[in-house]
Amino acid sequence: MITKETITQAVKELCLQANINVRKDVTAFLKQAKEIETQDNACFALDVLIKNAEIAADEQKPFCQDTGYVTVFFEWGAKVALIDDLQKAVDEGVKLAYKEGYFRQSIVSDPLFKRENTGDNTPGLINFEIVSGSEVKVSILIKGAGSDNASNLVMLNPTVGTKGVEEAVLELVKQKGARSCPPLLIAVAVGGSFDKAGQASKKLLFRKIGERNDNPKIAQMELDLLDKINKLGIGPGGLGGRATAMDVFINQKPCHMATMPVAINICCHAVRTAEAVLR
Amino acid sequence: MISIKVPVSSDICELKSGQQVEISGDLLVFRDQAHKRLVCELALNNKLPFDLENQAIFYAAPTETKPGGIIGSIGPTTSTRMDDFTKPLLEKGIKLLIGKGPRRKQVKDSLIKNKAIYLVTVGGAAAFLSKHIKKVKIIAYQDLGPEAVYLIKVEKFPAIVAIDCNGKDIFERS
Repeated sequence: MITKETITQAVKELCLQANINVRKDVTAFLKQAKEIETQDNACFALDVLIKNAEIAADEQKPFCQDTGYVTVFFEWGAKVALIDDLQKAVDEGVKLAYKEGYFRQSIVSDPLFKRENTGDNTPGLINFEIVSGSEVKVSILIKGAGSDNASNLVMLNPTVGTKGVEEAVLELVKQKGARSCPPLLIAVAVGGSFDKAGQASKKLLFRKIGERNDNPKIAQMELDLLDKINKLGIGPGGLGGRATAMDVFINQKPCHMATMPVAINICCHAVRTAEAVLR
Repeated sequence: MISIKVPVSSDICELKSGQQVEISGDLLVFRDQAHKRLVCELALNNKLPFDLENQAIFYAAPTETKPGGIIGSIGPTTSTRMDDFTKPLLEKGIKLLIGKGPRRKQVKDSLIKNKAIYLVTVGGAAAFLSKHIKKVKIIAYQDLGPEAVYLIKVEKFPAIVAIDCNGKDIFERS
C-alpha cells in the first residue's frame, strides 16, 4: 500500500540523490568532451566540472549551489489507491531533503511584491498522470534558475516546418547559451498546447544522453541540431569550444491545425533527475 | 599562473581577456536583491553598509553550511541580471566583478571608464569552488537569507578574465 509516508520518503531520497550525485551519463560526457576539446579554457572548465562531481560525491554536498525548485512527476497506476493529501506528502519530502542535505532554500512566495523565502524550498511542483497498472512511478526534476531563465516557449506558425523549429532553437542557444552553464541538455517539445508543451519538455530531460527518439526523422533532426549547436563555438562554460550541448532531445504530440507550440527547455550540465518505482 | 589580490592594489589593466587567473583575498558576495537595495541607497545619497573601494563582487548565494564546515556549495550566478545595477557600483570603486555569462554593452562601457574587469568562473562547479573559500561572514541584509551580503576570504580562486579594461570580451567571437 502506498501511504503519505511512502511518498514523502521517496521524494526526500530522490531530492538528496539528484542534488549530490551527478548523473552518470553526464560525467561520461564530460570526460569524453575533454578528450576532444583543444582550447585551454574549454579544457579548464571541463576539468573543473569533472573534479566538482567527485568532490560533491565524496563530501556529500550539492554539486551546484542552485539546488533549484523541485518538480515531481507521478505516473500513478490506476489500481493504486490515491492518498489524501499528495501536495503535503511531496512538500514534506522536499522540506526534509533540503534540511538534511543543507541545500539552498531558493523559493519565494509573493513573487510580485515581498518575495519572501518560504524557508523550506516548498512548494514542490506536481505533474500527475494516471496510467494503467499497480505501480507508482515518481520522477524528480530539479532545475536551477540560470538555465530555466534561458528556456523559452514559442507559438510558431503551423507552416514553419522543421526549419522553423530548428531556427527557434538555434537562435535561443545563440542568445542565451553562454550564460546558462554549457554543455547544455536541450529538450524541445513540439505540439500539444501552450501548457502541455512546457511540461513535456521537462519530462524529456529524463532521457539519457545518446538516446534517440524512436521516430527516425525526429532522431535525425536531433542529431542535425546537435551538430549545428556544437558549431556555434560557445563551448563549456561559454568560454569557447566545441561542447556547447551534450545532446538535443525532441518529441512531438498532436496539436491544433493552426498552431506549432514549441517549448525549448535549456538545461545546464547540472541535470538533476532521479526516479523510483513504488509498489 | 597570474594571481590577483583583493582589495585590488595592482594594475589590473595589464590583464587580458581570456587569461586564467587565481584570486586571493576578500570577496563581497551578493546578487539581485542586494544590488537593488544598494543602488537605491546610492540614489538617496545614503551611506552604504560596507565599503566598495577597490573591492570585488562575486555574484553568488551559497547553500547552507554543514556543521563544522566553512561554507556550503557556492558558484557563480548569471551576471547579466545585475547589468542594470552595475554602473553605480563601479563608479564607487568596485574593481572586479565575478560571475558567469556575457554582459550588456552598458557594463562593458563602465568597466572601460572605471578601469575595472569582469571575470567568470565555472558555473555549476559549486562543490569544487567552495574548497577555495577559507572564511565566511554575513555583513549586511541578513533578512535576504541566501541572498544576504557575505564577505568571504578566498585562496587561489580560479577565474578567467572575460572583459578586460579595454573592453575586449571573451564572449564576442569573430
